This record gives sequence, C-alpha cells and structure tokens, in this order.
Amino acid sequence: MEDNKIKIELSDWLYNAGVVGLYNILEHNGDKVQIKDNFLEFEINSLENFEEKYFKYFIEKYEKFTSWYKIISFQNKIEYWEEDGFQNFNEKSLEELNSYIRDVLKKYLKSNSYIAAYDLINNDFDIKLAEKEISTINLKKNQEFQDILNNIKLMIEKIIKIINYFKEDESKKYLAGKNVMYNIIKNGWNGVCFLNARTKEKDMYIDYKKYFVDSTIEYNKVKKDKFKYNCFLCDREMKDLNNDLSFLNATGFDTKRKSSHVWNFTNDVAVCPICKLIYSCVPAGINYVYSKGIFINDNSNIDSLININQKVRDEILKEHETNNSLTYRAMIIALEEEINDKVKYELSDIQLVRYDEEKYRFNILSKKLLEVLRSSRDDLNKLIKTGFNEINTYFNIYEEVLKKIMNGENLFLFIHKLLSLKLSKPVDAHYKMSHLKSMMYINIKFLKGVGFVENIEKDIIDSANKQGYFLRTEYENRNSENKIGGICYRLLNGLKTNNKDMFMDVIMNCYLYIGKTVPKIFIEALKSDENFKTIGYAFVSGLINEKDKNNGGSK
Amino acid sequence: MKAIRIKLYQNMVNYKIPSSFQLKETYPLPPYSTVIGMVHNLCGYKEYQEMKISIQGKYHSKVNDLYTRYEFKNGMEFDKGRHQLQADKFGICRGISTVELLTDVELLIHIIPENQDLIEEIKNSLDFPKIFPALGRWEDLAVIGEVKIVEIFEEELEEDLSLGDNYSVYIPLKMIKDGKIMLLGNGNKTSNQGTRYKLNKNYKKKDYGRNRVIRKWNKVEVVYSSRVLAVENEKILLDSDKKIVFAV
Repeated sequence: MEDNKIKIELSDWLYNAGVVGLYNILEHNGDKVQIKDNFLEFEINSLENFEEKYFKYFIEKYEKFTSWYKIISFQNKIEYWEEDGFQNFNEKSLEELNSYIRDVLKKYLKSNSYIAAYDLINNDFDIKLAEKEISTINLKKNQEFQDILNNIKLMIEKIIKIINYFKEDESKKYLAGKNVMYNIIKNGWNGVCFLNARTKEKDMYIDYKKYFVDSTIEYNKVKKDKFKYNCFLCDREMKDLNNDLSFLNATGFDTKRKSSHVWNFTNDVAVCPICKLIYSCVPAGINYVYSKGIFINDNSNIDSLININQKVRDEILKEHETNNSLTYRAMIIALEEEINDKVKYELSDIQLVRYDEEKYRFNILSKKLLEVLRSSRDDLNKLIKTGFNEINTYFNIYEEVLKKIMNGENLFLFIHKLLSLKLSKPVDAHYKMSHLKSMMYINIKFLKGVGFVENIEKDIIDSANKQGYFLRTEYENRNSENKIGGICYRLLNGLKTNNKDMFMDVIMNCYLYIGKTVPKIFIEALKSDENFKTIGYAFVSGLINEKDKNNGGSK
Repeated sequence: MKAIRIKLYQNMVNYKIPSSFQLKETYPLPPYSTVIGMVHNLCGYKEYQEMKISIQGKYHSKVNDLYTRYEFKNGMEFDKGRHQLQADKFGICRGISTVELLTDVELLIHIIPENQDLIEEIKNSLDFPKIFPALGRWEDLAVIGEVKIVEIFEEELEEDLSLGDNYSVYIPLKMIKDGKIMLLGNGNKTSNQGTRYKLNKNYKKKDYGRNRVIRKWNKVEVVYSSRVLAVENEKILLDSDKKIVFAV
C-alpha cells in the first residue's frame, strides 16, 4: 500500500454503507476519489480537515430538516411583512409570529444541545439574553391592532438579530452541526466520540478529528512491521484489538461480556483505524428521513452502489420537500431508473436494508419481485395518498403494501382488514373501494410472480366487483340495504377462513332473496383458493357502499 | 492428480459472513473454510490436511428467519438483573435475532488433498459418514448426492468453455489476472463482473500470550460470478467430466 493513498475495498453491507458515505463526503467537498471495480482510492491529504467536510456534508444535505433551518427560514416571512410596511399584518400573521416565538425560538434556543453549542461560537452577541427578551404579543381586549404594532416591530427587530446570529457561518457550523449530530449521525453510531454523553471535548469537530481522523492519519504514517494483529475486515496490520464494533447501532456486541459470539471466547473482532473511520461515515451512506433509513446494497461494483444510493437520497430529499415521507417510493423510483439505465443488467438478489425504530431490517429483492413492482407501478401510484387510522396512528397504504410485497406476503389479509375497517369504522378509512381493486390487481401480479397462479386474469376482479355492485343495487331497490353489512361480515368470515361452503351459502341466500340466478363468476371461484379469495374480496368490495357519505367514509 | 467430487443439496442454509453478529448474513456459496471443516469433521482429522478446494453451485432464493440467540461469557456468574437463563451458577442471555438463509442450494465441490493417499479415505468418509453431514451451521444438513473420484488435469482448451446449470462459482482472483478465466461483463463495462470476497481458507493458531489464542486466517481473494468463460487456447484445470476446477 502506498503511503499517500488509501485504498478501500467493499465488504459487507454496513461497511459498504460506510464506503458510500465516505465517497459522498469527499465528493461533496470536491476531493478526488478514484473508483475502480471493487475499490476506491483517495489521497491521504483528503483527510485534512475531514471533520469539517464530514459535518458540512450532513449540514448541507439535511439542512432543511434541521431546527436551525426552522429558525432562520422565518426571515422570509418577516421580509414579506416588512415589504409593505406591515399593511397586511393581521391577526393570522400575529398568530404565526407568536407560534414561531413560542414553538420554535423559545423551544430550541433553550434546548441543551444549543446551549452547549453557544459556548463554542466566537461571537459577542448574548444569545441567552436575547432569548429572554423575546416573548409572545397578545392583543388585549380594549386594544386596537395599531396599538401593538410598534411592539410587534420591536419584537421583530429582536428576532432579526437572533436570526442574523444564527446565520453567521460559525453559528451554522455549530448549531446546525448539533442538529445533524442528534438527528442524523446518531442513527448510524452512538456512544463514542461526540456522541458519548461524557466526552471531555466539547467541540464536536475537534472530538471527531481526534477520535477518528487523527488516528487514521497517524496509522497511515507508522511502520506496521511489528504489529501483531490483523484487522478483522480489511486484514491490515494492527497494534492492538482495542477498536471494536460496539459503537455501531445494532451491529457489534459487547466484547467483554458476551464473548460467546467469537471463537473460543477470545475476541478477535477488532478493526483498524481506517475501517473505523469508514464506519463513522455510515450515516452519510444510508439515506435517512428522520429516524427511518434506507440503503440498497447493490454491491456488484462500487459504481452502481454509489449511483443507486445517491438516486435514493435525491428522491427522498425531493419527496420530503413536498411533505411526504414515503421512503419506499423514493426507493422504487431510484430502482426503476437504475433498471432502465441498464436493461442488460441483472439487478436482482440485492439486499435492501431498512433502518426503522433503531433496528435494521432486511429485504432481499429478487428479480421477480422487482418485476412485480415495476409492472404494478400504476396501481401502486394510485395508493400513495390513501391511508387509515388505527389506534391513533396513521398508516399509509402505499407503504404497507410495499412492505408486505417485499416481505413476500400476499395482500389478502391486508385487503380483508381494509374491507372490515370500511364496514366497521368508515371514519378511519381514507380510501375508496377502487383502491382496494388496485390492490387486488397488484396481488394477482404478485401471486403470478411468485409462481402461485397461472391463469387468474385481471377481468375476474372487474366482473366479480360488478356483480357485488349489482347485488347491492338490488338490495337497495328493495330498501334492504341495512342487511348488506351483515352479509359482508359473513362473506368476509368465509373468505378469511377459506370456507367456501360458508361463503357460497351466504351467496345463495342473497340471490334467492333478490330472486335472480347466481352469476357464473362464482364457479370460477371454486377452482382454487387463490381464485376464491380474489373473486370473493372483489365481490365484497363491490358490495360495500361507496356513496354512503353520511358515515364520513370515503374521502 | 486426483480429486473427490461431491454433489450435494441443502434445503435452507446459512454460510455466515464472519463480521455479521446481529443479523447473520450469508455468503452465496460456502466459503473454503466451511467446506474444509466439513471434510475434516467427517474424516475425523484433528490436524489440518492441506487441500485445495473448488466450489460452484446455485441457490434458489434468500429468506430471512428468526432464531433464538444465546449470548454469554465463559464462566460469568448468574446475575438476575442481566441474565434470563440460569445454567447452574452461570448466566446466559437469551433473545431473538435474524438469520439470512439460502434456499435449495445445489453444490459441486472438488476436494484435492495434497496428500493423494487420502483420496480413498476421504471418499469413504463421505460415502459412509460417521455423523450426519452438515455444511454451514451445525443444523444445516447436507444431502450428499454423488461422491466420485475424478482425475484432474491441465488441458489446453480447444474451444471456450462456460459453466452449466446456472451455476455460480468462486473464482480465485489469480485465475482472472492470468487471463485463464474471463468474466462476461455487461456490455463492455469491465467493472460489472461479480462480487469480490476475501474468503477464509485455513488458519493457524497464534498465541499472543495472556491466554489469548487467536486464529490467524489464510484468506483467499475470489470473485463470485455466474458469467464465467474459460478462454480457448488457455491451459486450464478440468476434471474427467470436463468440469472446470477452480481450485485454490
């Protein structure tokens, strides 16, 4: 290995995330990184000021997610008011101003992480005092708007001062730095360096430099002939086994207390400073939205690994600006682009890593699943704005459907759940029956993709759906629509337990009641379990009322 | 030179990547050390017998499964606040974790012991194993289909030769560098060749003093790929059934 260059090879997914992160950071700062096949190479000089580059990357990429940005972005509002001398300033504006003071300024300026950062900023402005001087302004009963306008203007002046303080380079460096530290970086690793609660070094930049960067540079300089140990990952020589992996979230293990993980209870899982530095870049490789993250480990070569993850990142950040945190959608878009880019390329069996609720979850996308996702794109897109509430939580149907498909589950159970919800608690069901139809189409493609069914056609859904609707109209004509709910429940029970007899009993009963022949489609349903469920659910979704707005159902 | 060639099948198996502790990830084919371990175990060897191995095969898909994880330290006493299980006076933590599994694995393995006198013995131990053969984890049973002694020789190829049956293989990097094996990239991009691994092969124990004995691994650089082509006019190792041998 040459001394002025560092060469890094790909390894397992977490390491790869670190490699992508390192590349992102260096590239973002205009450093030269060479990519060849399965490794990347960069000059050791690039590590000068690496701590600045490290934070700069996070701050600039995730700027709009920080509380720092929340504080300074209010300036636009103020400028808008000032433009016409507060002519348009009304009660609503006052409320906006107050909520900004109350929920943003007062809240964040007093937060511990900010208070810790103030000391690091070399600025005479007394921010703590400034915070105390601002307060909300209320219109008293006998006051006119004009009476308090001066107060408002004074307050805004004070706010501008605070914003200006925040906009200083150094303030941004430390305050936004604190933000990304706790919001982004913490998702990747924790407990050491500046994320160690008892760290001695207050300045996180210096802390990072000392902990990760200096040791790497130092390591690169020294002669390694006499080193006895080898890095567990890259096989480079090492002096001791002190660097373990327990600082990485949900990855390492406690080498002192749980040594059953290693051979003969003797820990040899230690990494060299270079690998440790790479691991510290994991948060820059995995794409985060708040506490969720996604990483696609397409590791056939470094080029595509970097490409696909950058695409995901761009999509996620773009999606998020429209106030939509659909992480999966971003991934699908990026995957699709990647597939379109290289038609010849076998993009399959790639590992998809999700970070959610402080755990890593894995999916492996097979080629077939990718095809299902691709061919169901239109139906999937219809589901984006749908969702339902359950126990005070909102679930997005799009995300749920994707999660299920990627886990290799069929959608019958989910469709069942949504149908029951529509029947029992329509207020919480923010979707239409047509969305369930889309889900059934997706489900058919999925079943075909995993080789379950050959001959189910899309039109059985349509015709079963229509039959349900006709039956409903017949019931309505007889003023018996109250019976439909009960019928649906019984049908659903039959479907869930795969009980064709029960299902058909109810069906016969219904058609006897309206005095018509049972439609032919139900013969189709008896052919296989998949047919039965598909047709059955399509029928029930046609039967359930769509127009019933009194219940506040469909939106 | 003779080799023992085995065909084996496994239903669900994990060939653990050494650095994965929480979720146990798997290699796409068993690494050399795993195969060597199986052979040694079945033959009852206590010392390492130098051998070369070639591994090729395929799997159908990957799934994730839960497993019960036991964590403990040798000789650590039971502590009610920390341990869930009490084993006599010792304590063990129990929890769940995830393991990645390959399904329907089919393997074609060549074993070339350096000491050729062992050929019959190894074949015999594979034909009539003393214990159940396992490859990967202890519970990953291996169904040995065929065990055959094959002659291995270097041959100059008259025409290009590729792998059959959708097989993938670990190709020692050296074979690629020597130009004996070509990887069919996608288009003319040479980089889309496959996944590179550094696989463990065999180890020597190294004593670092203070009760610290660590295995020092001999690692082999390989490329995992399915798009393999042995180039004509190159000398290459083949077995008697014209299967390419990627011995290392």
